[in-house]
Amino acid sequence: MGLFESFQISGSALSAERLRMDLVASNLANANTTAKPGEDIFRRKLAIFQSEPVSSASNLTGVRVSRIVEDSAPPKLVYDPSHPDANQDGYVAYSNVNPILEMVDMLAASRAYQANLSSLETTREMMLRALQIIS
Amino acid sequence: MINGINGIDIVAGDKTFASPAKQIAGQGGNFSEMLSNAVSKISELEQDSAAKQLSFSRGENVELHEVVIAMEKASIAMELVMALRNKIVDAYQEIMRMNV
Repeated sequence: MGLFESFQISGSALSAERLRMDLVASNLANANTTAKPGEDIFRRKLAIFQSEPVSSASNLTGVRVSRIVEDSAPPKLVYDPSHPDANQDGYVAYSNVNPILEMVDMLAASRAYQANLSSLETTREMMLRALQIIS
Repeated sequence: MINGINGIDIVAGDKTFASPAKQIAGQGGNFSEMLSNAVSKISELEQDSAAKQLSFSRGENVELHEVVIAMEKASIAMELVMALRNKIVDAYQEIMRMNV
């Protein structure tokens, strides 16, 4: 076990949570995006996490985003015939992002980031405590 | 650096006082070699930290926590080696002060 492996583990989790937060920001920004008839709408993007060994010589695992998937939910149809993107029936296709769901995801990402930060902080404190033995 | 510390561990675990120096030599390094290994490892960590800081301030694609973690790694390694050095110098001075 290397000296800084737990730093690597926490660091990988921090990177993963940052990416998740970026996706939430992108989803929220595009919550009101419309699509022309026949074109595909903006679809909510979701990060899939997967565990990954930090090094070949160790069985400790960090985390990484293995892939980013799109939500296959149908578009939100709003009746607005004056909208330039409306179809023949007068319906406009909005993105399938649900802002409430995104807020929950944002909170979860933020808390997970905090949790990993505090594990990092505790690791650091443990190392410095160990150093106090000889000083 | 870690190998250097393990080297000390072997000596400490050696209950007989028969030639601890040979024990260290068997591990592939004497004290000065261990120290220079440790210093070069620290220098590596410091360079990594400086490179990350530079690319972050240039606005390259480096996450803030990566920069902070690199800085923290370098700082902890530095503190560890300083603590070891202080301990060893103390021991040396203790022996020099011994009345004969």
